[in-house]
Amino acid sequence: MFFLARKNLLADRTRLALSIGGVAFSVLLILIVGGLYRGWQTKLTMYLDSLQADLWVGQAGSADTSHSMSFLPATLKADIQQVPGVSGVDAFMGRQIMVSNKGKEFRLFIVGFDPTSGRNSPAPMVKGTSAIIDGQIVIDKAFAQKAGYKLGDLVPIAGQQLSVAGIATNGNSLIYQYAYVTENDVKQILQLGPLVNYFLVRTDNPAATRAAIQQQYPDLNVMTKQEFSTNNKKVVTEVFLPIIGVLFAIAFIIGAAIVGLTIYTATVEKSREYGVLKAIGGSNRLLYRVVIEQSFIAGIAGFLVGLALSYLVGLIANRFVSGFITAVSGRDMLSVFILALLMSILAAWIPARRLAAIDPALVFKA
Amino acid sequence: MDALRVHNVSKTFGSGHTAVNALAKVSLNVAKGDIVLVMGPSGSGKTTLLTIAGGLLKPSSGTVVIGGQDITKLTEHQLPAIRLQSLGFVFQSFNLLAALTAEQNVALPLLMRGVPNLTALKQARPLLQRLGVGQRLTSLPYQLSGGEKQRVAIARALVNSPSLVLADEPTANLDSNNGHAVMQLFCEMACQEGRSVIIVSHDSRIRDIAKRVITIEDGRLVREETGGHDTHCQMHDAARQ
Repeated sequence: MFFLARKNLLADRTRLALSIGGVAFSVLLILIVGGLYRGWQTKLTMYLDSLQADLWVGQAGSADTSHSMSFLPATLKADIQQVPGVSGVDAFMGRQIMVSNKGKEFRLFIVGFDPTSGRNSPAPMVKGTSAIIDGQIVIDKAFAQKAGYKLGDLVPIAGQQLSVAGIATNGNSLIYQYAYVTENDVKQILQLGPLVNYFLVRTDNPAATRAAIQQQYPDLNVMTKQEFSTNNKKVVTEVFLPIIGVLFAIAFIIGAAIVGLTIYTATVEKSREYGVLKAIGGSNRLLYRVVIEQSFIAGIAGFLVGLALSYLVGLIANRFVSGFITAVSGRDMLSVFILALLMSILAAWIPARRLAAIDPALVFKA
Repeated sequence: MDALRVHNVSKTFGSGHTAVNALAKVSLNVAKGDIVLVMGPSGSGKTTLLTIAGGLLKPSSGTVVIGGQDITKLTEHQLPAIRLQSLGFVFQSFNLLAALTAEQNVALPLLMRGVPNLTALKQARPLLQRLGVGQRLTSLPYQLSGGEKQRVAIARALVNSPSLVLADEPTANLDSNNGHAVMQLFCEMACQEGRSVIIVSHDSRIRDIAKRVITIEDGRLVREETGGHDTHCQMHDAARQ
């Protein structure tokens, strides 16, 4: 009876378009909001995740780069190096600062790196070079876009004019963007003196080494790479997750309501025809099937349109809005597809109840 | 065995002071190949009798036996199968599904029985050819004339080879020629295929093809006469000559 469902839907193209549009809008909203959430979650810490570190060692009480400060004496590096299980230690110097350009203020996370060895070097380059010297800076694409900087421009930071030598990507942390300077420059900009912010520890056995460092230096906070990454993502997961949940629910209700309304009106309008089907031997189950198939057609078509739209919107928005970082996995798409089918089932429920009440004897009324 | 046995059937709508007795102890047997015309004034209970005979309405009392099975004892879930397999319905206003073509409308009862789409369409086409609408297979109902619509509706009623066809005012919306053609189709059903036909109508022309004419007034069967079938049915012309 699939063809009957299809024909019934196609008989009123405007209603079909509305129905598909309802699901598409809902899918678009879910995919974009979900994609943003996923995008922030995965891309927010891409730079930190790319660093060669099995353990992050910070000052006691420090947990992430956004909400806490960590200052450690640089000399501690040699001591940590001696802890059993430690195969290498690098210093990490970096902190959030404010920069202004043309009257606008921007947050940057300045990181010092070693252009020669590549230690703590920026994520993939988009333009220019990461082989910089003192007085030069590599900025993130999102910051370049937002603040209007290009290669060769001078960025005023802490009284210095740093020349943009390269533009990197994967350094957009939503609240701030990463910028990379030489280790000499970062010490001056952040006025670190004999201090560093963290130590990045390499080890083959993170759990044992962590315990060993923690035991030897109880005043330090030793975190696994995963923990440090998770701590940095908390700003998104804790603040945005409840909001996203509400938006998901609204999108789902809107989608189900629009499909439900259009399928319901189509069912009411075709009550007599459903009565005919009943009269000539159609069971209620068969009629439900027709309505559910109609709903599924609208749901699946709406999902496909919504999917295409979300891809387009993501592509366009990413060009103009620096924080518009979306990531949609195959699993996410499958979940939204299942949601669209759930919308369809929900949408078919009320019309199906209406079908059960249709009296087949009405077909004898002229 | 009779195709239909209606025994002492009564139907009351409403209750108490507002109760209306639509049928009162009506009995009617319809043999195989019979054509029964049910006549009577509006509101006499003709259509109520037809809907009860078609398993679309439960009688307040009495029994309705189709093909040896008392359908008044069947549940709402069992009745659709009886209607689909044993009964064919022809309506005054054709009741074709607007979104479906002529051949799809006819194939519908087969599809309901689970016949695959292509097979159902293959079975529907020769029937429409036989009924003279073979050139309108892919036309939608709004593209068909009244006569063509009724032929398509008759094809739909016949496609599952029912033993009993129930027709409600089948010629009311047709002109004289189309009305005559439809009456001939009913004769063919009964005389060539051995189907039983019950026609509810005000159209006295149908008397000519009916084998029996019964009259209902105030819910009671008041008269039964012999119709003009034997003298007017073209199926018997050869035998008469």
